[in-house]
Amino acid sequence: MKKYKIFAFISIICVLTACSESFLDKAPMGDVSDAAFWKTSADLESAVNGIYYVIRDRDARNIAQFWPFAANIPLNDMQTTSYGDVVDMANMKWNSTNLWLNCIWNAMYMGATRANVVISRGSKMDNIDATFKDIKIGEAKFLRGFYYLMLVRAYGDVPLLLEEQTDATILPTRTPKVDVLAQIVKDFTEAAAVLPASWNDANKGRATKGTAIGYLAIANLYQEDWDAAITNSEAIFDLNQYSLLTNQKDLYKWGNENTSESLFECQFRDATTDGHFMEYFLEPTIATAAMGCDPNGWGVLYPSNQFRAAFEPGDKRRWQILSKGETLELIGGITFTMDSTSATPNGLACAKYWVGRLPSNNSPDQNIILLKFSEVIMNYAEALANKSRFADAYAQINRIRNRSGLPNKATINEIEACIQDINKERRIENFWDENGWFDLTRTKQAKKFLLDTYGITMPDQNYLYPIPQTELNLNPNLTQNLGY
Amino acid sequence: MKRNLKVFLLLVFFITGTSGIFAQRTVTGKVIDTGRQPVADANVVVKGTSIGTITDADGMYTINVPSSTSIIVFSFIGYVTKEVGAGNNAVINVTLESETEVLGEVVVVGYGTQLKKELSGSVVSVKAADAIRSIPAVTMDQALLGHASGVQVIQNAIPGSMGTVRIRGVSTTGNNDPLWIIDGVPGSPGNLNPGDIESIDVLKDASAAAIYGSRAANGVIIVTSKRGISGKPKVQFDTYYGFQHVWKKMDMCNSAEFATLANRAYINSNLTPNPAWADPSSLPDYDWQDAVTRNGAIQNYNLNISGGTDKIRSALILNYNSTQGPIIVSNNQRYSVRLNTDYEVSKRLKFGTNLFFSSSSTRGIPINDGSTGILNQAIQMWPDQPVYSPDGSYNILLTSANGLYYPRNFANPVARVNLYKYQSFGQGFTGQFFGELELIKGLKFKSIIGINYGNGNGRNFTPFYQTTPANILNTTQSSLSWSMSTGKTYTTINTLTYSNIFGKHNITALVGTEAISGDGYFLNTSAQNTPNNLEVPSAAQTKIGDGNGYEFAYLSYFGRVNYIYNDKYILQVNLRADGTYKLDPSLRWGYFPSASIAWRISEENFMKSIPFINDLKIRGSYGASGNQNSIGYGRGLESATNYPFLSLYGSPYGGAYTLGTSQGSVSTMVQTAIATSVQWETQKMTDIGIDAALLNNSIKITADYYSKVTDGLLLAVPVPATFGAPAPQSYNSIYSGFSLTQNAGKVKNDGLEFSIEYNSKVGNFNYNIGANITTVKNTVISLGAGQPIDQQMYLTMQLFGNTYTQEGHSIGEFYGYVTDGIFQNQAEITSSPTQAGVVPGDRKYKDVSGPDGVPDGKIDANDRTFLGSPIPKFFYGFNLGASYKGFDFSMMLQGQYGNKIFNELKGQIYVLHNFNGIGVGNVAKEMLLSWNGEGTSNTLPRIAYNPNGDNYKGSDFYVEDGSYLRCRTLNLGYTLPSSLVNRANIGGVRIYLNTQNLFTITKYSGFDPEINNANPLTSGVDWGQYPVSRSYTLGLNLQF
Repeated sequence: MKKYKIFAFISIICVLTACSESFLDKAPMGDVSDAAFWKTSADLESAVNGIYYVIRDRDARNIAQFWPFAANIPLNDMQTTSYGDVVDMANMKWNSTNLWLNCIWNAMYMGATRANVVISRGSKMDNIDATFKDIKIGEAKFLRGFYYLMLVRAYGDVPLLLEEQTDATILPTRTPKVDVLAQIVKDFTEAAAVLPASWNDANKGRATKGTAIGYLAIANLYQEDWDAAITNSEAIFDLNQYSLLTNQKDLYKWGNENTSESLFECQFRDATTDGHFMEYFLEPTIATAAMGCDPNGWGVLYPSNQFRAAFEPGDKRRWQILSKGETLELIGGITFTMDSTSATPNGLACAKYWVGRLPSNNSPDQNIILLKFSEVIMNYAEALANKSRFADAYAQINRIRNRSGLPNKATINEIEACIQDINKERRIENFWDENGWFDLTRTKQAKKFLLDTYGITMPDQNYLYPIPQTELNLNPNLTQNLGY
Repeated sequence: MKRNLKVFLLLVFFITGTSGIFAQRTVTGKVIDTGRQPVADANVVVKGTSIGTITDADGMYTINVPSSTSIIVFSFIGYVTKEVGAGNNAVINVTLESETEVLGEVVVVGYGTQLKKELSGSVVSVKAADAIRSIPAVTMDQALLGHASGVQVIQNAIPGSMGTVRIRGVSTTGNNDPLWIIDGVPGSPGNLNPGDIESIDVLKDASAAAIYGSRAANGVIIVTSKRGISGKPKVQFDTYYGFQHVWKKMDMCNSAEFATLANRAYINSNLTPNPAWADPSSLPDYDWQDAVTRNGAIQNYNLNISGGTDKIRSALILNYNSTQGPIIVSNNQRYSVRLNTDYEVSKRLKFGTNLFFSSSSTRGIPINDGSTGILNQAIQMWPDQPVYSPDGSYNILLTSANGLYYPRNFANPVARVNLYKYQSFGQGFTGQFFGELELIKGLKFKSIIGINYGNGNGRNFTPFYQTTPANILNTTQSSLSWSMSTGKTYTTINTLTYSNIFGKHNITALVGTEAISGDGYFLNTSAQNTPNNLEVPSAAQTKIGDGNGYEFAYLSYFGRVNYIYNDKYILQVNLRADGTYKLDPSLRWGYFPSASIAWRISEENFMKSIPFINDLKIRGSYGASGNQNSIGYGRGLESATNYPFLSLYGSPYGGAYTLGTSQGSVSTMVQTAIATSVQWETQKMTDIGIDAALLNNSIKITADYYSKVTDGLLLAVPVPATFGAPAPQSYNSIYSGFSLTQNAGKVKNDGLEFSIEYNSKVGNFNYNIGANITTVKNTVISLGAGQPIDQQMYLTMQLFGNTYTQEGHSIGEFYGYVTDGIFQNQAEITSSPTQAGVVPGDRKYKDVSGPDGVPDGKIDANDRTFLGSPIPKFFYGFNLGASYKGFDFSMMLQGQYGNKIFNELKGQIYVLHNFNGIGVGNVAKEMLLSWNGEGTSNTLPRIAYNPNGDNYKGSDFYVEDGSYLRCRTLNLGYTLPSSLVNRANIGGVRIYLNTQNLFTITKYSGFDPEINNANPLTSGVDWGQYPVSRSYTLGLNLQF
């Protein structure tokens, strides 16, 4: 009997105490969790790819294809009669429930959060090649800076979140724009230090040193740190990676992707799984039917008459718009001529994104250019002008003009005029690209431009987007931008 | 050694006794129990000597008594030992009282048993003899139904499927299922054989349940299986056979009526009516409801062999059950084997095993689906079309060339249900091994090891078959899916119990640990285009495989102290600490205390003088329990999302980012939001109760007030987009917003429970009456961010209605428009709130509200309002039993009151035009009364082929009173006289006739008011579910 007792007491003590905490440590078997992830360099690379993906995430309504709206519709150079929220954008009737003004916010935070995860967890990986890791973390930092730059230029002060989110930090407050910009500059600088000057074919499309410095220079412009902007712009020239193509048109021609003029593009490859809709927006409806193709063009966007009038005689960039009787060369000698049947409300159409190919051939998968060398040059010019180096600034403007068959512009030693000349060139050069409106707001020219060109009075608050109403509803710590 | 000596001495005495060396007297007699049944194998010993014997099968004994002063001791397990002086009697007959009768009823509680009279918590018991054996219960829930106050059981008519069990209301928007404890180990009741069951005890309040901590918030149901009884083997054979059928038919149009309405619909829409229906009166009539329903056979065979010595006892139970559903083709077969064994090594050391194996196979049918359910489609079939063509093949239903008359998405339901195979197979093994050791007197150590294995296989096959000429349904190619799942759970429970009485102090203390872990996997193969329509996945042209797995672990420490002073004052304190794998390591431990007190007033001296009160106790309890089942609920059991604190990674919706020349580079992102602070839903429960036994124990009353508040309800709370992480899984979700699971909500349930039992007899006529009633008031107190939970209900892919779970209302209330009659003329339209596109004859809605909360003169989404709750105000059961000589009778009435049902079926049979496309289908006969000119109807809108869709918006038209009173069981039995059966060497024979759901009193217009829908957000929505049926069975209980 005594033996039983001893045995039993021992077993009780064992069972009451033996179970250790690790008994409860389980990991999901059907999903990839932290327990299985962050082990190999392939894990890290795929996580970085996931950050890039936001640029064209379908959940973000193909954000890259949306940016031309954000960067052009407020300028009114591209007109639309469809989409109420887009029309409101053009008419400067902005409010906090406009989906097109809101979706940048949502998508950029999605991207920034993914970058935070990679930076915090990827940095802790210690069993992979250190150089490889540094480059990947560099890409993540570049992307975080990029997403925050997009936020800052649209919304001003925004919550700056640099750590992986938990449910304890759901309701952030806004961080002053200067602080956000300082962080953006830090991220771009650290990225530029590790990113390669170019990538091999298998990795084309990733951010390079040039990409990081290109956006760094833009961030410097927002900081009004002209010296840094000049230094960084010159650093891009020194990389000897980038040059202007002979014809500006070639940058947009079908099949010309990731050219020497391009610093960053949103990559598309397979139209059936991840193509965009840019072409559909831009082609006139009847035109496609007339070409014997599917009448897929929606013809909902068309250049304004004012924009047509803005071209100087002999400007080769006039190809970007088609008016009645004008012809666009498509693929294999086929041409398309605007006629009365291909009418848009004012008879004009934008030729970008379908030049050099059959319209609506069901594969709108041309890369969308996010930053190009001609913009670097004009950003450099903007910085020079602000340092009163007007002759140098005009030299840069003329580089752009000369390429498209225009003569030199005479130097005007006056900041306002010089900036306006830069913006005039930008208006033609960057039509329906990704930055136009934001260059105009940064240089404080937007209000004057809209009044002079379109007779639209721009309310002062429209220098910034409104903070999305859904965010204000959910986060009492957020404040709305002044005037909304 | 001692034992051997005893046996030796006994032998010596026997030998010497029989050889007549001592002149002794022989005493004979019979030992019976209070039910006048003989007690076999009872020990009969002369006190202080080694003289002894045991009784035979008839309870007879013979013993030699040394002297008239000798005392004879009669004892048997489960009975109170009795001592009788021998005197000079030659015959001594003895009646043994069972321990239950003397000590009072014993109830099973968490990790032990307690005397009912000493309970301070709220526990309700159902004994096998009362409920389980007397009715043909196929699943465990049926054994509980109507017997226990506070326990709501909603039948599930799908053959072999468990119903829904809710204890004291619905306390969460997540999982509301109670915890089932089977022979001491958490388990699943799904495949249990009710014939195995000795008792079911339901722990309802915090005091009783909270010993199960974080799994106890929905109540605990403890199932105890039958054990062997010592004595020579007893064989009991129970069987029943019967039929079930759908007790109600929808009153649908016949061909002439249908054609008349259809013709009117086409004419009203300026379309040419179907020429085939030009002469409605000439059309033949076929009944499609009859074609898909049947008398389904139910049969059950249960064999229980039990016996043993006082040292080794065993019970073997074999069961086979076969149930054919009342809808054609659907059926379920189950067989099970149970072997429960007890070994008593010594008085202090006991071991035992419970082994249970079950296997089932089920043929399912498409059901519970608003658009493709077999019964739903059958009632909408064109009554002029036969099921079979003249050549005996299935009628390939007409699809007219222009598709205007016969819906293209309707197939012959009889063909579909026969040709499409939905089969599932399951096997489960449960083994429990336990040992108990009494270390010192009163101190017992018990250890249970439980093992649970389960396998499930699914085999679905859809052959290529033309059920419509246009091959619209997915029959253009064969498809099959085979799945396989396996899971296992290991449970280890160790308890140390000390129990002792010091004078007036009665103390029982318990400490213990419980560790549960397990894992599971599933594999799935789906294939398409098999050659020759064969069910051969390997030969298919396209094959896709998929799989998943999971692991889980729970660890618990618990303790309980029970103190009774002077048999009057009872105090119980429980504490449980639970750890779970589901939560962040820093938050995974939860602590759940509870306490209860009771005062047995009847033991006070001042009460002893009141003769009609036999027992009176008041009790109160308060405590906390949890509901960790809600963590990850609704996202697949034990799925990855059970880990809200872990980051999970996956591909972005839509694919991979393109880099270089490749089509896509592998892209990964954080897929789920990280909710590190998620914890258990915690429930605080108060219970105040009274138990009374009156009038010589003939009346027993229990009444309780309960109130439980579930706090930290797990909800998907919308979070700002700055949170960034949760990748939206659909195209539009970036606009509809992000959400994160958080402990944000608060729900209260409170109510009263009352039950009364009365037993009496008049001569040979015994009778008992029992009644119980439970009220439930369910209130959502908070939903975190305050936004209502909008559960959308779809009918043939169209949004048809909503339930809203909103603060101040109950969970899952119906939400929609309020009808206001029918527009009789243009003047009424002009003078009414604006409704787009209406013409006279269209439905009119009430202008309840505008965007600012005041009526705005137009009908839009702002006019939707609350239309009623699916939660009954009260539910009740009423039992009546009687026996006279060999006859016995029992009846149970059961029902609920004050709940509403959203009748989706009405959305199909009160509209002629097929919502989702073209053609018309049959409608309810009542549609003949539809609006057809001013003043003709104010409830049913005009009939048209392309009616105003707004006539069919989710509204109070579909919300119906769900109250019902039903005769759940009616049982008439006859036990053959023993004089008759003994001749055949049979112990006992009882035959009985049983009917279930004999009648139902309800205003509900659908098939049946019992809506078995486990999702609390849609619990009152009748999608056109498998209707509860009426059955008649003939049963036989044999005892050998």
